[in-house]
Amino acid sequence: MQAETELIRLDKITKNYRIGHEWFPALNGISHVIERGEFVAIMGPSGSGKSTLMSILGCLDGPTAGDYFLNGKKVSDLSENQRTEIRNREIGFVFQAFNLIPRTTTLENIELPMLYGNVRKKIARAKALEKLELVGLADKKNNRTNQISGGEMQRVAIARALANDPPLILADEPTGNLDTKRSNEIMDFIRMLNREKGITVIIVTHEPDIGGYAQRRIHMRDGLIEREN
Amino acid sequence: MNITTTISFSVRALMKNKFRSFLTLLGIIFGVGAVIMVMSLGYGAQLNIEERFAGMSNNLSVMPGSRSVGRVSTGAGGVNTLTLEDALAIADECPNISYVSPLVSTRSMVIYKSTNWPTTVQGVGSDFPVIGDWQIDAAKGDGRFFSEDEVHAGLKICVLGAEVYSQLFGGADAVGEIIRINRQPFTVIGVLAAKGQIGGFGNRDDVIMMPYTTAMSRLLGKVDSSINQIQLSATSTDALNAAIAEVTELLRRRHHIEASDGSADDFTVRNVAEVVSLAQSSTETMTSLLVAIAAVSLLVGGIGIMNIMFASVTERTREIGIRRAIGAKPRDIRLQFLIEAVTLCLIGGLLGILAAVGGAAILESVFKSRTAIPPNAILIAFGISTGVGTFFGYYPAFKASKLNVIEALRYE
Ligand SMILES: Nc1ncnc2c1ncn2[C@@H]1O[C@H](COP(=O)(O)OP(=O)(O)O)[C@@H](O)[C@H]1O
Ligand SMILES: [Mg+2]
Repeated sequence: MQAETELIRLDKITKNYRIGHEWFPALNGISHVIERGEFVAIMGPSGSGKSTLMSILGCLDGPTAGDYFLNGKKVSDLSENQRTEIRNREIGFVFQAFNLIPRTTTLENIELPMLYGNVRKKIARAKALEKLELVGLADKKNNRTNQISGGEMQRVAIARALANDPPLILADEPTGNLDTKRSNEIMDFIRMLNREKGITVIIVTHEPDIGGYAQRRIHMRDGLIEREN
Repeated sequence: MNITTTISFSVRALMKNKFRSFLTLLGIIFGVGAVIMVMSLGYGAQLNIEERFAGMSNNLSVMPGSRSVGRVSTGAGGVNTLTLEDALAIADECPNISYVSPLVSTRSMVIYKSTNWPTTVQGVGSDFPVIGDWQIDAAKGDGRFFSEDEVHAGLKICVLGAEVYSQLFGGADAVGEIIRINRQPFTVIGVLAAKGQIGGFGNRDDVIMMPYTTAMSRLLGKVDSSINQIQLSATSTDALNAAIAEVTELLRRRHHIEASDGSADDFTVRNVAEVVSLAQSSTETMTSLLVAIAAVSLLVGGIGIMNIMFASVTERTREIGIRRAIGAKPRDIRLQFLIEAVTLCLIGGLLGILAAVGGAAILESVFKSRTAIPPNAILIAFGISTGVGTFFGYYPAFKASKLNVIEALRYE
């Protein structure tokens, strides 16, 4: 029963970065479980290890030691190709800097994860349009990514994160480059995804207002979870 | 990810930097252009050879001297084993031979009025123009070739090659004029139509022809009846092998050579096809050498491609990071950049063909060299381009595929 409800299990995760000849510990043995359908905010001062934890949760990087189970699979010791497939199918990324591909249209950006996942072009196009409608930007489908505003860029990025209908969305400071009004719009939308679509959401933020959207806040310090509320 | 999508990404990236892409392409354009141009020179020479021997495919020639092992010995110098009587006997006794002409040859100074011109004088029979496909140039006077009777009479008459005619007479009438060859007067009775220059063969129009009887007695002062060559035409191409056998058999009999006791022939029968293949293989060798030299410029072009691809990878580090994050495998990235390099080279190859066409036209008009773009040039150019693109694009593409995803995402 336990395995049915848990989406993420971290077991004594450590991450050391090499700086010259020294090893710098960024994560010091984190153990934690996140259930399906949760909305969690990771908070904490700069340098506390939030982004490092996110990159491990996102299968962008492997831990130095410890085990990471995602969706019942032990992903901490998968090959790069296997991790890429997990990222493609099971995780949607939203970045602070939006990270849309330059010189391409909004629609093409949303198609991209599907094309990399070998979805047929025609189907990918139809689904991309659907996601663009969901974020309310259907009228901008032929705009290049440099022809829309910051708030719109982040909405396209969310649509792209939803492309392959992943169970998990990871957002590292998704509102860091937006004003308060746009930030709230984006956060309302993310909360809607969590509530209505049952998507598990983990965001990193150092703003208490943004953290307030989550059901649960994890506070980090020096590579450890200090407390949660 | 499917390949057409990958190609469209690559093309778009190239279009972003049109001018830079074009500059990079110059190396490939010149490289492919040079290779195709050199090939078109070689192909032109090959066509020349084919045309030179067109209509002569039935021809045989007999040279004095034996065939040395593996290749044809040049023979001629000092070996006087071939005689006029041999030539006459072939004409009489070989049913598969339709035309026969003896040939003697010497270098002489020719004088008309105050103009001197050193040239080759050939003594030949009246069948010679048929065998060698020579025509009288009707535009240069009412001329003709000498007849069998004139050969027998040993008259001091001659026919001028087009080059000799233009050197001695410019454009003036030559037929009926007297020229001096080795201080002796000869009457010009005709001018030959030009055959044109062929690389490696000398100018075939730089020649004077006269009856072999006259040449042997008047110019060569021969006491024996040795000749340089016998030129023959078989009755048909199908009869060629039978004709060779007949001639060989006859000459062995006449020269008292027993093939069965292992003694070597003192003559060589060659057919034109053999000469053609010899000439073609030497042109091919020459062409390959030049192509190899031209290919060096491709190396330079390829290094240019590698350079631009590295720049492109660096510039798009962040894009690579994003693609990797959302599901591009290392191999997708590698393929994307490889296709980009190959596409770039293919465009270069296409422009290179155009450059070669232009360059060949210049070679034709300025240097009077015959060129012909080989029919497989497009295939070759595309082959080269794909090869260069793959070879020089691979390493940058490989580097791109190995970028660390997190570092790439953070790249400014
Ligand atoms: N690639 C890296 N190499 C070396 N040190 C790093 C690297 N990435 C992060 N760090 C260090 O690890 C610590 C945690 O970083 P990070 O996870 O980015 O913190 P946060 O996102 O909470 O600000 C910091 O001290 C940072 O300097
Ligand atoms: Mg951070």
